[in-house]
Amino acid sequence: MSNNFYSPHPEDDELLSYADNELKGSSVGRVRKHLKECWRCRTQLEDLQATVTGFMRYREHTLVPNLPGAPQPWKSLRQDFDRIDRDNANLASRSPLFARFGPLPAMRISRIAVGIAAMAVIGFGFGYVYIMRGALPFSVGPTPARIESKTRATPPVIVVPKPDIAQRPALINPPSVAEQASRVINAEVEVAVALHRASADLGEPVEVIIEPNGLVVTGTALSANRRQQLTAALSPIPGVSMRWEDTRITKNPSRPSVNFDAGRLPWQPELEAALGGKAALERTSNELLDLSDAVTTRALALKKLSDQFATAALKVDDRAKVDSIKADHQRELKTAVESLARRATPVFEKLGAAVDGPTAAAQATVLQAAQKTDRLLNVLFAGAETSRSLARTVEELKIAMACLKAAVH
Amino acid sequence: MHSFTKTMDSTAELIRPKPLSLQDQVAAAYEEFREDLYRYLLLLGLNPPQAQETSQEVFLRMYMAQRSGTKIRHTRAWIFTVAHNMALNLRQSEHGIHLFDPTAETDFKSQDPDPERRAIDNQRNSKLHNALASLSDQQRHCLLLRAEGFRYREIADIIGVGTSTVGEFLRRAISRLRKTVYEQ
Repeated sequence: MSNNFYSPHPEDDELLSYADNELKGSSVGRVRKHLKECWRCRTQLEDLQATVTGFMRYREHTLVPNLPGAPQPWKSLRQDFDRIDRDNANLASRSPLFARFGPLPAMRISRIAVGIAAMAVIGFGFGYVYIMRGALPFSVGPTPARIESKTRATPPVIVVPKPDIAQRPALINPPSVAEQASRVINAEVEVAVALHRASADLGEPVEVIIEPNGLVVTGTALSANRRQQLTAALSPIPGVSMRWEDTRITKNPSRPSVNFDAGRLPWQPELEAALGGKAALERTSNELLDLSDAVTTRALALKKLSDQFATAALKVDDRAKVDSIKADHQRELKTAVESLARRATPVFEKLGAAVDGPTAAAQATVLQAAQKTDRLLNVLFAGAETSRSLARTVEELKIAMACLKAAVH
Repeated sequence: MHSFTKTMDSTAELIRPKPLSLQDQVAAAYEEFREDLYRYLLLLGLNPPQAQETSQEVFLRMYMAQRSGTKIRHTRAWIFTVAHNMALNLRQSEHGIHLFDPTAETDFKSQDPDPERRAIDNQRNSKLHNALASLSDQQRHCLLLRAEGFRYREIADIIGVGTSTVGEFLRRAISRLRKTVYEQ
Protein backbone atom coordinates (compact mmCIF):
# COMPACT_ATOMS: atom_id res chain seq x y z
CA MET A 1 0.00 0.00 0.00
CA SER A 2 1.53 3.24 -1.10
CA ASN A 3 -0.46 4.92 1.66
CA ASN A 4 2.00 3.57 4.21
CA PHE A 5 4.52 6.13 3.03
CA TYR A 6 2.19 9.00 3.70
CA SER A 7 0.76 10.62 6.76
CA PRO A 8 -2.98 9.95 7.10
CA HIS A 9 -5.29 11.96 4.86
CA PRO A 10 -6.90 14.85 6.71
CA GLU A 11 -10.67 14.82 7.13
CA ASP A 12 -12.75 17.07 4.90
CA ASP A 13 -13.53 19.47 7.72
CA GLU A 14 -9.84 19.62 8.59
CA LEU A 15 -9.06 20.66 5.04
CA LEU A 16 -11.67 23.39 5.12
CA SER A 17 -10.45 24.59 8.52
CA TYR A 18 -6.91 24.53 7.15
CA ALA A 19 -7.97 26.64 4.17
CA ASP A 20 -9.77 29.00 6.54
CA ASN A 21 -6.73 29.25 8.85
CA GLU A 22 -8.82 27.84 11.67
CA LEU A 23 -6.71 24.79 12.46
CA LYS A 24 -5.01 24.76 15.82
CA GLY A 25 -1.57 23.69 17.00
CA SER A 26 0.30 20.84 15.43
CA SER A 27 -2.54 19.98 13.05
CA VAL A 28 -1.53 22.88 10.83
CA GLY A 29 1.95 21.51 10.26
CA ARG A 30 0.67 17.98 9.78
CA VAL A 31 -1.89 19.00 7.19
CA ARG A 32 0.53 21.29 5.41
CA LYS A 33 3.13 18.51 5.21
CA HIS A 34 0.54 16.03 4.04
CA LEU A 35 -0.68 18.34 1.33
CA LYS A 36 2.83 18.60 -0.06
CA GLU A 37 2.98 14.83 -0.26
CA CYS A 38 -0.49 13.97 -1.47
CA TRP A 39 -1.91 14.82 -4.88
CA ARG A 40 -5.32 13.61 -3.94
CA CYS A 41 -5.74 15.86 -0.94
CA ARG A 42 -4.23 18.77 -2.81
CA THR A 43 -6.82 18.29 -5.52
CA GLN A 44 -9.50 18.05 -2.90
CA LEU A 45 -8.34 21.28 -1.32
CA GLU A 46 -8.44 22.94 -4.73
CA ASP A 47 -11.98 21.65 -5.22
CA LEU A 48 -12.96 23.16 -1.88
CA GLN A 49 -11.39 26.47 -2.83
CA ALA A 50 -13.10 26.39 -6.23
CA THR A 51 -16.45 25.82 -4.54
CA VAL A 52 -15.83 28.72 -2.17
CA THR A 53 -14.74 30.93 -5.06
CA GLY A 54 -17.81 29.95 -7.09
CA PHE A 55 -20.10 30.71 -4.19
CA MET A 56 -18.44 34.05 -3.47
CA ARG A 57 -18.66 35.08 -7.14
CA TYR A 58 -22.33 34.20 -7.17
CA ARG A 59 -22.81 36.15 -3.96
CA GLU A 60 -20.92 39.24 -5.14
CA HIS A 61 -22.10 39.37 -8.74
CA THR A 62 -25.58 37.93 -8.63
CA LEU A 63 -27.13 37.44 -5.22
CA VAL A 64 -26.22 40.75 -3.58
CA PRO A 65 -26.79 43.02 -6.65
CA ASN A 66 -30.25 41.48 -7.03
CA LEU A 67 -31.28 42.14 -3.43
CA PRO A 68 -33.78 44.96 -2.99
CA GLY A 69 -32.28 48.18 -1.63
CA ALA A 70 -33.43 49.77 1.59
CA PRO A 71 -37.00 51.01 1.01
CA GLN A 72 -36.45 54.32 2.87
CA PRO A 73 -33.42 56.60 3.01
CA TRP A 74 -31.38 55.70 6.11
CA LYS A 75 -32.43 58.12 8.81
CA SER A 76 -30.05 59.68 11.27
CA LEU A 77 -30.31 58.08 14.69
CA ARG A 78 -29.29 61.21 16.59
CA GLN A 79 -32.83 62.14 17.56
CA ASP A 80 -33.44 58.65 18.86
CA PHE A 81 -30.19 58.80 20.83
CA ASP A 82 -31.32 62.08 22.36
CA ARG A 83 -34.71 60.65 23.20
CA ILE A 84 -33.07 57.66 24.87
CA ASP A 85 -30.91 60.02 26.90
CA ARG A 86 -33.94 62.14 27.88
CA ASP A 87 -36.09 59.16 28.77
CA ASN A 88 -33.33 57.64 30.83
CA ALA A 89 -32.79 60.90 32.68
CA ASN A 90 -36.52 61.17 33.42
CA LEU A 91 -36.80 57.60 34.57
CA ALA A 92 -33.68 57.84 36.69
CA SER A 93 -35.03 60.86 38.49
CA ARG A 94 -38.31 59.08 39.22
CA SER A 95 -37.11 55.65 40.18
CA PRO A 96 -34.36 54.87 42.65
CA LEU A 97 -34.37 51.29 41.33
CA PHE A 98 -33.60 52.54 37.87
CA ALA A 99 -30.79 54.71 39.12
CA ARG A 100 -29.26 51.67 40.78
CA PHE A 101 -29.43 49.42 37.77
CA GLY A 102 -28.82 51.93 35.03
CA PRO A 103 -30.88 52.63 31.96
CA LEU A 104 -33.20 50.03 30.59
CA PRO A 105 -34.12 49.29 27.03
CA ALA A 106 -37.73 50.19 27.63
CA MET A 107 -37.71 53.66 26.23
CA ARG A 108 -37.35 53.24 22.55
CA ILE A 109 -40.68 51.64 22.07
CA SER A 110 -40.68 50.31 18.57
CA ARG A 111 -43.13 47.71 17.46
CA ILE A 112 -40.44 45.04 17.69
CA ALA A 113 -39.01 46.06 21.00
CA VAL A 114 -42.14 46.63 22.99
CA GLY A 115 -42.65 43.17 24.37
CA ILE A 116 -39.02 42.46 24.92
CA ALA A 117 -38.38 45.80 26.57
CA ALA A 118 -41.38 45.42 28.83
CA MET A 119 -40.07 42.09 30.02
CA ALA A 120 -36.68 43.64 30.66
CA VAL A 121 -38.27 46.06 33.10
CA ILE A 122 -39.68 43.29 35.25
CA GLY A 123 -36.94 40.89 34.47
CA PHE A 124 -34.18 41.95 36.83
CA GLY A 125 -32.21 39.55 38.92
CA PHE A 126 -33.17 35.97 39.18
CA GLY A 127 -34.86 34.62 36.15
CA TYR A 128 -33.94 37.47 33.87
CA VAL A 129 -31.70 35.50 31.60
CA TYR A 130 -33.95 32.52 31.78
CA ILE A 131 -37.23 34.17 30.90
CA MET A 132 -35.66 36.14 28.14
CA ARG A 133 -33.68 33.31 26.69
CA GLY A 134 -35.84 32.92 23.65
CA ALA A 135 -36.45 36.56 23.01
CA LEU A 136 -33.28 38.19 24.18
CA PRO A 137 -31.78 40.44 21.55
CA PHE A 138 -28.25 40.20 22.83
CA SER A 139 -26.69 37.11 24.26
CA VAL A 140 -26.41 37.51 27.99
CA GLY A 141 -25.68 33.88 28.58
CA PRO A 142 -24.99 31.04 26.22
CA THR A 143 -27.72 30.76 23.63
CA PRO A 144 -29.08 27.26 23.36
CA ALA A 145 -28.44 25.67 20.02
CA ARG A 146 -31.51 25.62 17.87
CA ILE A 147 -32.18 22.19 16.58
CA GLU A 148 -32.08 22.24 12.84
CA SER A 149 -35.51 22.08 11.39
CA LYS A 150 -35.88 19.78 8.44
CA THR A 151 -38.21 22.11 6.61
CA ARG A 152 -36.85 25.39 5.54
CA ALA A 153 -39.64 27.15 3.80
CA THR A 154 -41.62 29.42 6.08
CA PRO A 155 -44.99 29.65 4.44
CA PRO A 156 -48.26 31.09 5.74
CA VAL A 157 -48.57 30.91 9.48
CA ILE A 158 -51.68 29.76 11.28
CA VAL A 159 -51.77 31.18 14.75
CA VAL A 160 -53.77 29.52 17.48
CA PRO A 161 -53.73 32.12 20.22
CA LYS A 162 -54.69 31.42 23.77
CA PRO A 163 -57.06 34.30 24.55
CA ASP A 164 -55.91 34.58 28.15
CA ILE A 165 -52.31 35.36 27.34
CA ALA A 166 -52.36 36.85 23.88
CA GLN A 167 -51.55 40.55 23.83
CA ARG A 168 -51.77 40.83 27.58
CA PRO A 169 -50.18 44.14 28.53
CA ALA A 170 -46.99 43.03 30.18
CA LEU A 171 -46.74 45.80 32.72
CA ILE A 172 -50.16 45.71 34.39
CA ASN A 173 -49.70 44.13 37.80
CA PRO A 174 -46.70 42.14 36.77
CA PRO A 175 -46.15 39.00 38.79
CA SER A 176 -42.99 38.93 40.83
CA VAL A 177 -39.86 37.95 38.99
CA ALA A 178 -39.48 34.68 40.87
CA GLU A 179 -43.15 33.87 40.31
CA GLN A 180 -42.85 34.63 36.63
CA ALA A 181 -39.71 32.55 36.21
CA SER A 182 -41.05 29.50 37.97
CA ARG A 183 -44.33 29.73 36.05
CA VAL A 184 -42.45 29.78 32.75
CA ILE A 185 -40.19 26.91 33.80
CA ASN A 186 -43.13 24.88 34.97
CA ALA A 187 -44.99 25.44 31.69
CA GLU A 188 -41.84 24.52 29.81
CA VAL A 189 -41.60 21.23 31.67
CA GLU A 190 -45.28 20.51 31.01
CA VAL A 191 -44.76 21.24 27.33
CA ALA A 192 -41.75 18.94 27.25
CA VAL A 193 -43.82 16.17 28.86
CA ALA A 194 -46.72 16.67 26.44
CA LEU A 195 -44.46 16.70 23.41
CA HIS A 196 -42.63 13.64 24.65
CA ARG A 197 -45.92 11.75 25.13
CA ALA A 198 -46.88 12.67 21.59
CA SER A 199 -43.41 11.58 20.39
CA ALA A 200 -42.94 15.06 19.03
CA ASP A 201 -39.47 15.37 20.55
CA LEU A 202 -37.79 13.10 18.04
CA GLY A 203 -36.61 15.40 15.32
CA GLU A 204 -40.02 16.60 14.22
CA PRO A 205 -39.87 20.28 13.26
CA VAL A 206 -41.49 21.35 16.50
CA GLU A 207 -39.84 24.00 18.64
CA VAL A 208 -40.57 25.65 21.93
CA ILE A 209 -39.89 29.36 22.03
CA ILE A 210 -40.04 31.59 25.07
CA GLU A 211 -41.63 34.84 24.10
CA PRO A 212 -42.36 37.82 26.31
CA ASN A 213 -46.02 36.89 26.64
CA GLY A 214 -45.60 33.18 27.21
CA LEU A 215 -44.43 29.97 25.69
CA VAL A 216 -45.04 29.37 22.03
CA VAL A 217 -44.83 25.97 20.43
CA THR A 218 -44.20 26.18 16.71
CA GLY A 219 -44.48 23.41 14.20
CA THR A 220 -43.63 23.49 10.55
CA ALA A 221 -45.03 21.35 7.77
CA LEU A 222 -47.14 19.19 10.02
CA SER A 223 -50.18 17.44 8.63
CA ALA A 224 -53.59 18.72 9.74
CA ASN A 225 -54.02 15.56 11.73
CA ARG A 226 -50.74 15.97 13.55
CA ARG A 227 -51.50 19.63 14.28
CA GLN A 228 -54.77 18.59 15.82
CA GLN A 229 -53.07 15.96 17.98
CA LEU A 230 -50.48 18.41 19.24
CA THR A 231 -53.03 21.15 19.84
CA ALA A 232 -55.04 18.72 21.92
CA ALA A 233 -51.95 17.71 23.87
CA LEU A 234 -50.77 21.26 24.52
CA SER A 235 -54.04 23.16 25.03
CA PRO A 236 -54.52 22.17 28.67
CA ILE A 237 -51.22 23.81 29.67
CA PRO A 238 -51.78 27.39 30.81
CA GLY A 239 -49.77 30.15 29.18
CA VAL A 240 -48.90 28.19 26.07
CA SER A 241 -49.91 29.10 22.55
CA MET A 242 -49.27 27.29 19.33
CA ARG A 243 -48.23 28.50 15.96
CA TRP A 244 -48.47 26.08 13.10
CA GLU A 245 -46.65 27.14 10.03
CA ASP A 246 -48.39 25.74 7.05
CA THR A 247 -46.76 24.53 3.92
CA ARG A 248 -47.68 22.97 0.69
CA ILE A 249 -44.85 20.50 0.99
CA THR A 250 -45.89 17.79 3.36
CA LYS A 251 -43.33 15.26 2.35
CA ASN A 252 -42.21 12.80 4.92
CA PRO A 253 -39.04 14.42 6.19
CA SER A 254 -37.33 11.13 6.93
CA ARG A 255 -34.23 10.03 5.13
CA PRO A 256 -34.81 8.90 1.56
CA SER A 257 -33.71 5.34 1.03
CA VAL A 258 -30.43 4.80 -0.66
CA ASN A 259 -30.47 3.39 -4.12
CA PHE A 260 -27.44 2.04 -5.80
CA ASP A 261 -27.35 3.28 -9.32
CA ALA A 262 -24.26 2.39 -11.20
CA GLY A 263 -21.14 4.17 -10.09
CA ARG A 264 -22.59 5.70 -6.96
CA LEU A 265 -20.00 4.29 -4.65
CA PRO A 266 -16.37 3.76 -5.49
CA TRP A 267 -16.35 0.51 -3.53
CA GLN A 268 -19.75 -0.73 -4.59
CA PRO A 269 -18.38 -3.90 -6.26
CA GLU A 270 -16.55 -4.88 -3.07
CA LEU A 271 -19.62 -4.22 -0.94
CA GLU A 272 -21.90 -6.16 -3.26
CA ALA A 273 -19.49 -9.09 -3.33
CA ALA A 274 -19.15 -9.11 0.45
CA LEU A 275 -22.83 -8.76 1.26
CA GLY A 276 -24.27 -10.95 -1.49
CA GLY A 277 -25.50 -8.76 -4.29
CA LYS A 278 -27.08 -5.40 -4.92
CA ALA A 279 -30.38 -6.17 -3.22
CA ALA A 280 -28.64 -7.30 -0.05
CA LEU A 281 -26.44 -4.22 -0.10
CA GLU A 282 -29.48 -1.97 -0.43
CA ARG A 283 -31.29 -3.72 2.38
CA THR A 284 -28.29 -3.72 4.69
CA SER A 285 -27.44 -0.10 4.11
CA ASN A 286 -30.99 1.09 4.57
CA GLU A 287 -31.34 -0.88 7.79
CA LEU A 288 -28.06 0.42 9.17
CA LEU A 289 -28.79 4.01 8.19
CA ASP A 290 -32.27 3.82 9.72
CA LEU A 291 -30.87 2.44 12.96
CA SER A 292 -28.24 5.13 12.96
CA ASP A 293 -30.98 7.72 12.41
CA ALA A 294 -32.78 6.36 15.44
CA VAL A 295 -29.61 6.58 17.52
CA THR A 296 -28.82 10.12 16.43
CA THR A 297 -32.41 11.25 16.98
CA ARG A 298 -32.41 9.99 20.57
CA ALA A 299 -28.97 11.42 21.25
CA LEU A 300 -30.12 14.79 19.91
CA ALA A 301 -33.31 14.67 21.95
CA LEU A 302 -31.26 14.02 25.09
CA LYS A 303 -28.87 16.82 24.30
CA LYS A 304 -31.73 19.20 23.58
CA LEU A 305 -33.42 18.28 26.83
CA SER A 306 -30.33 18.81 28.94
CA ASP A 307 -29.57 22.09 27.17
CA GLN A 308 -33.13 23.26 27.67
CA PHE A 309 -33.19 22.59 31.38
CA ALA A 310 -29.50 23.00 32.14
CA THR A 311 -29.69 26.37 33.82
CA ALA A 312 -33.19 26.14 35.15
CA ALA A 313 -33.68 25.79 38.87
CA LEU A 314 -36.37 23.14 38.70
CA LYS A 315 -38.80 22.25 41.41
CA VAL A 316 -38.47 18.70 42.67
CA ASP A 317 -41.50 17.33 40.83
CA ASP A 318 -40.55 19.16 37.63
CA ARG A 319 -37.05 17.74 37.87
CA ALA A 320 -38.56 14.27 38.25
CA LYS A 321 -40.64 14.77 35.10
CA VAL A 322 -37.62 15.87 33.11
CA ASP A 323 -35.61 12.95 34.48
CA SER A 324 -38.31 10.54 33.45
CA ILE A 325 -38.25 11.83 29.86
CA LYS A 326 -34.49 11.56 29.94
CA ALA A 327 -34.69 7.97 31.17
CA ASP A 328 -37.05 7.11 28.30
CA HIS A 329 -34.65 8.51 25.77
CA GLN A 330 -31.68 6.81 27.39
CA ARG A 331 -33.42 3.45 27.33
CA GLU A 332 -34.42 3.83 23.69
CA LEU A 333 -30.97 5.09 22.81
CA LYS A 334 -29.36 2.06 24.40
CA THR A 335 -31.72 -0.28 22.56
CA ALA A 336 -31.05 1.47 19.27
CA VAL A 337 -27.29 1.37 19.79
CA GLU A 338 -27.46 -2.34 20.61
CA SER A 339 -29.56 -3.07 17.52
CA LEU A 340 -27.17 -1.08 15.40
CA ALA A 341 -24.18 -2.94 16.80
CA ARG A 342 -25.91 -6.30 16.32
CA ARG A 343 -26.78 -5.48 12.74
CA ALA A 344 -23.32 -4.09 11.98
CA THR A 345 -21.28 -6.98 13.40
CA PRO A 346 -21.91 -9.45 10.55
CA VAL A 347 -21.35 -6.64 8.06
CA PHE A 348 -17.94 -5.92 9.56
CA GLU A 349 -17.16 -9.63 9.48
CA LYS A 350 -18.11 -9.90 5.84
CA LEU A 351 -16.02 -6.87 5.03
CA GLY A 352 -13.08 -8.64 6.58
CA ALA A 353 -12.58 -6.33 9.53
CA ALA A 354 -11.76 -7.92 12.87
CA VAL A 355 -14.82 -7.76 15.11
CA ASP A 356 -12.97 -6.88 18.30
CA GLY A 357 -11.56 -3.66 17.00
CA PRO A 358 -9.68 -1.10 19.02
CA THR A 359 -11.80 0.59 21.64
CA ALA A 360 -9.40 3.38 22.44
CA ALA A 361 -10.43 7.02 22.42
CA ALA A 362 -13.85 6.29 23.87
CA GLN A 363 -13.98 9.79 25.27
CA ALA A 364 -16.63 11.21 22.96
CA THR A 365 -20.07 12.22 24.17
CA VAL A 366 -22.99 10.10 23.01
CA LEU A 367 -24.04 12.73 20.51
CA GLN A 368 -20.55 13.13 19.06
CA ALA A 369 -20.14 9.38 18.71
CA ALA A 370 -23.62 9.02 17.21
CA GLN A 371 -22.96 11.77 14.68
CA LYS A 372 -19.57 10.36 13.77
CA THR A 373 -21.10 6.92 13.29
CA ASP A 374 -23.89 8.35 11.19
CA ARG A 375 -21.46 10.28 9.05
CA LEU A 376 -19.26 7.27 8.44
CA LEU A 377 -22.26 5.10 7.58
CA ASN A 378 -23.20 7.75 5.07
CA VAL A 379 -19.69 7.65 3.67
CA LEU A 380 -19.81 3.88 3.43
CA PHE A 381 -23.27 3.47 1.96
CA ALA A 382 -24.36 6.78 0.53
CA GLY A 383 -21.15 8.08 -0.98
CA ALA A 384 -21.03 11.15 1.26
CA GLU A 385 -17.28 11.46 0.71
CA THR A 386 -15.61 9.34 -1.84
CA SER A 387 -12.08 10.37 -1.15
CA ARG A 388 -11.40 7.75 1.51
CA SER A 389 -10.45 4.14 1.22
CA LEU A 390 -12.98 1.45 2.03
CA ALA A 391 -10.74 -0.20 4.62
CA ARG A 392 -10.13 3.06 6.45
CA THR A 393 -13.80 3.98 6.49
CA VAL A 394 -14.75 0.60 7.95
CA GLU A 395 -11.97 0.85 10.56
CA GLU A 396 -13.09 4.32 11.61
CA LEU A 397 -16.68 3.24 11.69
CA LYS A 398 -15.81 0.42 14.05
CA ILE A 399 -14.00 2.81 16.36
CA ALA A 400 -16.89 5.28 16.26
CA MET A 401 -19.35 2.52 17.11
CA ALA A 402 -17.13 1.30 19.94
CA CYS A 403 -17.13 4.87 21.30
CA LEU A 404 -20.88 4.98 20.93
CA LYS A 405 -21.35 1.75 22.83
CA ALA A 406 -18.98 2.91 25.54
CA ALA A 407 -20.79 6.24 25.78
CA VAL A 408 -24.25 4.78 26.33
CA HIS A 409 -23.12 2.25 28.93
CA MET B 1 14.12 67.47 31.24
CA HIS B 2 11.13 67.57 33.41
CA SER B 3 9.64 70.60 31.81
CA PHE B 4 10.47 69.29 28.36
CA THR B 5 8.38 66.19 28.97
CA LYS B 6 5.61 68.33 30.23
CA THR B 7 5.70 70.45 27.08
CA MET B 8 5.61 67.31 24.95
CA ASP B 9 2.60 66.07 26.86
CA SER B 10 0.61 69.18 26.41
CA THR B 11 1.53 69.32 22.72
CA ALA B 12 0.39 65.75 22.37
CA GLU B 13 -2.85 66.72 24.03
CA LEU B 14 -3.36 69.44 21.47
CA ILE B 15 -2.68 67.08 18.58
CA ARG B 16 -4.62 64.14 19.97
CA PRO B 17 -8.19 64.21 18.65
CA LYS B 18 -10.92 64.66 21.17
CA PRO B 19 -12.33 61.25 22.13
CA LEU B 20 -15.56 60.53 20.29
CA SER B 21 -18.76 60.72 22.26
CA LEU B 22 -20.79 57.54 22.57
CA GLN B 23 -23.34 58.97 20.15
CA ASP B 24 -20.57 59.64 17.61
CA GLN B 25 -19.19 56.14 18.00
CA VAL B 26 -22.52 54.45 17.46
CA ALA B 27 -23.40 56.79 14.61
CA ALA B 28 -20.09 55.92 12.95
CA ALA B 29 -20.72 52.18 13.39
CA TYR B 30 -24.22 52.72 11.95
CA GLU B 31 -22.77 54.44 8.87
CA GLU B 32 -20.22 51.70 8.43
CA PHE B 33 -22.20 48.54 9.03
CA ARG B 34 -25.88 49.24 8.36
CA GLU B 35 -25.80 48.11 4.72
CA ASP B 36 -24.03 44.86 5.61
CA LEU B 37 -26.55 44.25 8.30
CA TYR B 38 -29.52 45.08 6.10
CA ARG B 39 -28.25 42.65 3.45
CA TYR B 40 -27.72 39.89 5.99
CA LEU B 41 -31.23 40.38 7.38
CA LEU B 42 -32.70 40.14 3.88
CA LEU B 43 -30.81 36.92 3.36
CA LEU B 44 -32.22 35.61 6.64
CA GLY B 45 -35.67 36.10 5.17
CA LEU B 46 -36.84 39.46 6.51
CA ASN B 47 -38.69 41.67 4.06
CA PRO B 48 -37.06 45.01 3.15
CA PRO B 49 -38.99 47.27 5.56
CA GLN B 50 -38.46 44.77 8.40
CA ALA B 51 -34.79 44.44 7.55
CA GLN B 52 -34.29 48.18 7.52
CA GLU B 53 -36.23 48.79 10.71
CA THR B 54 -34.39 45.98 12.45
CA SER B 55 -31.02 47.29 11.30
CA GLN B 56 -31.79 50.69 12.81
CA GLU B 57 -33.12 49.11 15.95
CA VAL B 58 -29.90 47.14 16.41
CA PHE B 59 -27.85 50.34 16.61
CA LEU B 60 -30.28 51.89 19.07
CA ARG B 61 -29.84 48.81 21.22
CA MET B 62 -26.13 49.15 20.86
CA TYR B 63 -26.37 52.71 22.09
CA MET B 64 -28.56 51.68 25.02
CA ALA B 65 -26.32 48.78 25.91
CA GLN B 66 -23.18 50.88 25.89
CA ARG B 67 -24.89 53.67 27.76
CA SER B 68 -25.66 51.23 30.53
CA GLY B 69 -22.05 50.17 30.73
CA THR B 70 -21.91 47.12 28.46
CA LYS B 71 -18.45 46.79 26.95
CA ILE B 72 -18.63 45.79 23.31
CA ARG B 73 -15.29 44.52 22.11
CA HIS B 74 -16.12 43.45 18.57
CA THR B 75 -18.71 45.84 17.26
CA ARG B 76 -19.49 44.06 14.03
CA ALA B 77 -19.87 40.66 15.68
CA TRP B 78 -22.06 42.20 18.39
CA ILE B 79 -24.46 43.88 15.99
CA PHE B 80 -24.73 40.73 13.88
CA THR B 81 -25.49 38.71 17.00
CA VAL B 82 -28.26 41.06 18.06
CA ALA B 83 -29.61 41.28 14.51
CA HIS B 84 -29.52 37.50 14.07
CA ASN B 85 -31.54 36.93 17.25
CA MET B 86 -34.02 39.67 16.40
CA ALA B 87 -34.47 38.31 12.89
CA LEU B 88 -35.15 34.78 14.09
CA ASN B 89 -37.70 36.08 16.58
CA LEU B 90 -39.34 38.19 13.90
CA ARG B 91 -39.42 35.34 11.46
CA GLN B 92 -41.21 33.22 14.03
CA SER B 93 -44.03 35.71 14.17
CA GLU B 94 -44.28 37.31 10.76
CA HIS B 95 -43.95 36.72 7.08
CA GLY B 96 -40.65 37.33 5.41
CA ILE B 97 -39.67 37.08 1.79
CA HIS B 98 -37.91 33.71 1.91
CA LEU B 99 -35.24 34.15 -0.68
CA PHE B 100 -34.24 30.58 -0.16
CA ASP B 101 -37.65 29.02 -0.29
CA PRO B 102 -37.01 26.00 -2.52
CA THR B 103 -40.52 26.29 -3.95
CA ALA B 104 -40.17 29.95 -4.88
CA GLU B 105 -39.26 30.98 -8.39
CA THR B 106 -36.13 33.05 -8.26
CA ASP B 107 -35.05 35.60 -10.75
CA PHE B 108 -31.39 36.14 -10.04
CA LYS B 109 -29.96 36.78 -13.46
CA SER B 110 -26.38 37.15 -14.55
CA GLN B 111 -25.32 40.64 -15.67
CA ASP B 112 -22.76 39.38 -18.17
CA PRO B 113 -23.02 41.11 -21.60
CA ASP B 114 -21.99 37.99 -23.54
CA PRO B 115 -25.19 35.95 -24.18
CA GLU B 116 -23.41 32.58 -24.16
CA ARG B 117 -21.62 33.28 -20.88
CA ARG B 118 -24.86 34.69 -19.51
CA ALA B 119 -26.66 31.45 -20.26
CA ILE B 120 -23.95 29.40 -18.54
CA ASP B 121 -23.92 31.79 -15.60
CA ASN B 122 -27.66 31.66 -15.27
CA GLN B 123 -27.64 27.90 -15.20
CA ARG B 124 -24.89 27.84 -12.58
CA ASN B 125 -26.62 30.56 -10.58
CA SER B 126 -29.86 28.71 -10.48
CA LYS B 127 -28.04 25.55 -9.36
CA LEU B 128 -26.24 27.50 -6.64
CA HIS B 129 -29.45 29.12 -5.56
CA ASN B 130 -31.19 25.78 -5.29
CA ALA B 131 -28.22 24.34 -3.45
CA LEU B 132 -28.43 27.22 -0.96
CA ALA B 133 -32.12 26.60 -0.58
CA SER B 134 -31.44 22.95 0.14
CA LEU B 135 -29.09 23.74 3.04
CA SER B 136 -30.38 23.64 6.57
CA ASP B 137 -30.94 27.07 8.14
CA GLN B 138 -27.90 26.66 10.35
CA GLN B 139 -25.64 25.62 7.50
CA ARG B 140 -26.83 28.55 5.42
CA HIS B 141 -26.38 31.00 8.29
CA CYS B 142 -22.82 29.76 8.81
CA LEU B 143 -22.06 30.11 5.12
CA LEU B 144 -23.53 33.62 4.88
CA LEU B 145 -21.68 34.75 7.98
CA ARG B 146 -18.43 33.24 6.76
CA ALA B 147 -18.94 35.12 3.50
CA GLU B 148 -19.38 38.28 5.61
CA GLY B 149 -15.85 37.65 6.84
CA PHE B 150 -16.53 36.27 10.30
CA ARG B 151 -14.23 33.69 11.87
CA TYR B 152 -15.58 30.39 13.19
CA ARG B 153 -15.46 31.61 16.81
CA GLU B 154 -17.52 34.69 15.95
CA ILE B 155 -20.03 32.70 13.91
CA ALA B 156 -20.37 30.31 16.83
CA ASP B 157 -21.22 33.24 19.12
CA ILE B 158 -23.65 34.77 16.64
CA ILE B 159 -25.70 31.67 16.02
CA GLY B 160 -25.20 30.16 19.46
CA VAL B 161 -23.39 26.88 18.79
CA GLY B 162 -19.88 25.56 19.42
CA THR B 163 -16.93 26.42 17.21
CA SER B 164 -16.46 22.84 16.04
CA THR B 165 -20.12 22.71 15.09
CA VAL B 166 -19.58 25.75 12.88
CA GLY B 167 -16.75 23.87 11.14
CA GLU B 168 -19.03 20.90 10.62
CA PHE B 169 -21.92 23.04 9.29
CA LEU B 170 -19.57 24.78 6.88
CA ARG B 171 -18.08 21.50 5.70
CA ARG B 172 -21.54 20.15 4.97
CA ALA B 173 -22.61 23.36 3.27
CA ILE B 174 -19.57 23.48 1.02
CA SER B 175 -19.81 19.81 0.19
CA ARG B 176 -23.48 20.24 -0.70
CA LEU B 177 -22.70 23.20 -2.94
CA ARG B 178 -19.90 21.28 -4.62
CA LYS B 179 -22.10 18.26 -5.27
CA THR B 180 -24.99 20.24 -6.63
CA VAL B 181 -23.06 22.58 -8.82
CA TYR B 182 -20.07 20.67 -10.03
CA GLU B 183 -21.02 17.02 -9.94
CA GLN B 184 -24.18 16.63 -11.94
